[in-house]
Amino acid sequence: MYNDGVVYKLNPSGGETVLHTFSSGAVTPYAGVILDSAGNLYGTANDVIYEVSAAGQYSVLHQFGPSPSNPQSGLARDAAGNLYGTTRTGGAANAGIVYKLSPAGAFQKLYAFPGGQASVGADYINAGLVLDPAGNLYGTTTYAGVGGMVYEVDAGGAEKTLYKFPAAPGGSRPFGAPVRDRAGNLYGTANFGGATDQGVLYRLDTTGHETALFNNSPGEFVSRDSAGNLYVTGGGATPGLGAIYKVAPNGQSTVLYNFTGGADGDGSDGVTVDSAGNLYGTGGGGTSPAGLVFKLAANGQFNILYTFTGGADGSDPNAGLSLDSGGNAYGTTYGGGTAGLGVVYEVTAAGLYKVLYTFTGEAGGGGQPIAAPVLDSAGNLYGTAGGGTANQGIVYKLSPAGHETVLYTFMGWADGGGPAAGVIRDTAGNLYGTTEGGGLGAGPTNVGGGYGVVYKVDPSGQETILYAFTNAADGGKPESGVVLDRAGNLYGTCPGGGSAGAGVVYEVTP
Amino acid sequence: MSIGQNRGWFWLVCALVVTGIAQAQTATETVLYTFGNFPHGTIPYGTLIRDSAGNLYGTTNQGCSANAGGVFEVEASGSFKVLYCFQGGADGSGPYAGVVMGSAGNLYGTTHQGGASGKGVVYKLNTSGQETVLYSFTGGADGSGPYAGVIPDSNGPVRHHLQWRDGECGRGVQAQSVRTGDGFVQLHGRRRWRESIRGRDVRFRGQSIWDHLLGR
Repeated sequence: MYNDGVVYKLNPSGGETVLHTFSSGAVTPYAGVILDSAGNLYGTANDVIYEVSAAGQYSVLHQFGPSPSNPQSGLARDAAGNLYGTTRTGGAANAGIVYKLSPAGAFQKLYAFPGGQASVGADYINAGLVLDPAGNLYGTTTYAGVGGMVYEVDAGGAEKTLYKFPAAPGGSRPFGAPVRDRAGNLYGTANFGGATDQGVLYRLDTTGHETALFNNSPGEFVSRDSAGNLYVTGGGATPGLGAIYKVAPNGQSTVLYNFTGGADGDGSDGVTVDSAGNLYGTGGGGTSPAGLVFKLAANGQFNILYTFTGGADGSDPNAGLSLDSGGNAYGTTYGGGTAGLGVVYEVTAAGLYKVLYTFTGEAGGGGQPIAAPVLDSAGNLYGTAGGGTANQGIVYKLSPAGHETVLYTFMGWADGGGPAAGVIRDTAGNLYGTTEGGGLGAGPTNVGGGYGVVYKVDPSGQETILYAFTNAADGGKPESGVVLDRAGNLYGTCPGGGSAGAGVVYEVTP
Repeated sequence: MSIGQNRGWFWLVCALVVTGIAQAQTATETVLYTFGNFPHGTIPYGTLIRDSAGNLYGTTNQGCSANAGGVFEVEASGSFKVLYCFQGGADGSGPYAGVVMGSAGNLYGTTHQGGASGKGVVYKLNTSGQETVLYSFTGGADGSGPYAGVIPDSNGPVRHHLQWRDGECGRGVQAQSVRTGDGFVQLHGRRRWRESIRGRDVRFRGQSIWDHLLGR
């Protein structure tokens, strides 16, 4: 039979005794119990305050109504026998309360949490309270104030924040592939960490020292100009809308453009800078839910280059853009196209939109690409897509005439599976990328298992696994691609793994 | 070269080929940088405790050096200390419950995960910050993944059987024998009780028996 938990006792020799069993369909305890001098135990469960007497008798002392409710914390008890605890819901902001229950059963709200990440309260107040002799109560909130808070509520119900848990000062859980300067510094964005745990734009120097250059909810990728300025998107002046920032090498940031939420959309995952200082990007929102391509000229002029209709022209251009020397931009859409499986497109320097290839999913040709293609000097495009004959993704080549060749089909075995990023190309024509799955432990009976790989596909379509992740200190499940230095070393990031579970920057030496 | 030698070469070549296939990985990986998490921990689910000097003690469910949570102290002065970061292995991981303190200053609590069976542990943290696992839940009849902590029975480790003050038993004491990791605790009579650990008789004076037993 399924039960809903027990009250137990563990003696010093490690022996356990069950004192009370909550039966199936009844209340469920989340927190521990307290003991009075007579040997009675007190605790909470959804949605009651209960007592297990010294004689082992279970009784309900208070039944919570619809609000406040969810008393998931344990209890504190004063000398007069009053019990104190917190709820997760209820109060003016429905962010929980601090309550008191008298021995006679009178229930009283002492303090209502105001809610909101920046203040004490918010959701998830699971913790109970501790009393001092003066009647002050001490407790914690689990998320508010970045990493949670320790607070005090005095006998009069006044609250004081004693400590706020800070986020990682640098990045945590990196997003995209890093970019690399000539000195070997790597730059990238992380999803979390920083002053408000909203992510950072980081610089990692060659000694392994990280500097957070920018703290304002950076987008997925960063672009760098020849002067060393970095271009990144982030949170804008209006909540919910993004902005485009220029970040100088010293970390000084300047807003270049604030998205308005109008035809220009609501933001972007990043921008790509050309040699003249113009920025190109893709975004969501705008006049069509299918997304748009924009250009922010070096002189500050913002232009919408193309707004997708979501039809044959594609939809959801999530991946950013690649630029050629002629000022033409190339990208992919995840959806849309005649088969709904996405397209590869070009926006010419003159602003003309062209579908270069429509994924149909036929003949193992893949679909739903999530990365921008890369170019060779002959005008061929290379990228990754999902699907394929094993449904574990492909690496494709697209000729200037729009003919697709599947260079490699992932099996989801040791060869990797599920490319979550695109490829880069060396001067010999080899392609390098990552898969999120496959690799160690994956095979015909565990398709797509493992923690991903770094791979190379040569011009003949021969694949080589350069590294298979273990998801331990080495990182795992890479969601971004790699960059290459002149010596042939590859650099990338994993959002997870690493000794702190917050991701790594790695180098693969062939 | 004899046939036998040829056959030997044949198998050696086969072995090399097999090795070559199995060892698909051709490059080495170096971790250049490991991103951190909440350095002081985060998500303090557990109820705090407060000592007589006004210091508060609690736990965090995640963050700390191994992202497995930890034990912290907010001193009465307001300064903050990480006392222990769970490493996520046999030492436990992801505590939901807070800690209790023995009279010797040791802290006791549970973790939701980690331990020998990955089902959570009961741990002790001494005043030097050294952690000891007292019990690893197995996920059998003993339960698994505790959300709640432990309480030191103020009457001693055997509930309802012992009341004491300054080393003397109060009323209602029953003679009990409790096996500890190191020996026996002998409870003698209604008015007095003594502990015999490794042949020594010890009288308790103003000290929690829980702490005395576990805080050796």
